[in-house]
Amino acid sequence: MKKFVLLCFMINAFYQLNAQDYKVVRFDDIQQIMETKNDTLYVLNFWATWCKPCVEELPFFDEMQERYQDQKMKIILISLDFQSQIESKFKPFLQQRKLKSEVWFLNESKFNKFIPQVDQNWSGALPFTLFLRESDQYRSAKEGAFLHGELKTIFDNIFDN
Amino acid sequence: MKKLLFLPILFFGLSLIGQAGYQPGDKVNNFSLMNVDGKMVTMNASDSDIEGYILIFTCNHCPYSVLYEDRIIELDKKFKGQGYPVLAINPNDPKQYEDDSFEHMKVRADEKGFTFPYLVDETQSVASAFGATRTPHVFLVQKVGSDFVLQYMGAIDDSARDEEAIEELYVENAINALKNGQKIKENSTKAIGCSIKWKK
Repeated sequence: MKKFVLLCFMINAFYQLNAQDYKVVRFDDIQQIMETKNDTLYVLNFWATWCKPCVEELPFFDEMQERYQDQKMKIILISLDFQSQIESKFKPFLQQRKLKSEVWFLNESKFNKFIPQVDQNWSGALPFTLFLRESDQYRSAKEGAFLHGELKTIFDNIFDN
Repeated sequence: MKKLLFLPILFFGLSLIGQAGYQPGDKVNNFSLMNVDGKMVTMNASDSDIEGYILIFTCNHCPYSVLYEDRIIELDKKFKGQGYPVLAINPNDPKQYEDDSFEHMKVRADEKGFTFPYLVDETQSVASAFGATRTPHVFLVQKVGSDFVLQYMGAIDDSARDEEAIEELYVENAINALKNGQKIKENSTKAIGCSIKWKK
């Protein structure tokens, strides 16, 4: 019986993960990524479904995810959607878009301390993207949306040279 | 000794890189912008009741601006009589969001019963001069003689999404500090917001 319950729980967890396709995180989880010491390129993109320029650039990140999936890199799309709109907006958006990159939902409300910890020059406006690689101290950041070619150039420069 | 003198200058110079617009302590230029009632509005230093202004770059379409609408009305109600009225300024290019057009501004001001002017920064020159980057973005200015000096810039409070979790009322605290001749504890804060939609 115990095994059956456990199995049911696991199946349920598996399906939930697939249906939702995102992970709820706190600042600590992001900090952990920022402090990871290895040669993986981390791309942290802060966005929200209600932010038009953010939504417009998401396909560019997905394209890079596909193009460089064999490289040591991880794109994380960190949503700052409202808690109250998870069911009405956030989940339907994910289901419709079927994003290829990993999606996180940031469950926090105090941002004054956190924003400068991500980057000193980030004013808090969305979208914001941070590129990090510890092994060669690579770091670059941008407030505002990328043009398609602009994002492609960054990735090409990192991986194709 | 010379080297020591040079260091602060170097750091000051570095701190300016990447920051456009006014910083706390800077004298700001006045402006003349059209209100939703069709009249032009400027900061009035000759009005003896005025101690300063709560300038808020905001707009119609941004969910964070919408979240703060009631709180902005409350700020105005609370501080207008104390010499610090709110002036709301929409800097967004309406071509990118029809919702932010002058016509829609009139509708929103009317629907929500804004107690303060809602101005359009059509050329975006005021937002640009202040270095505003997002909506909502507050700039608290204090009247000094015939000038206005920036005293605080940033968020209204520390919890946009959850009003019950507010611990710091940044703008209120700043005004109270100014009124009591005290130093403002935090004169620059950050918050999540919508990027200002600059004309392309």
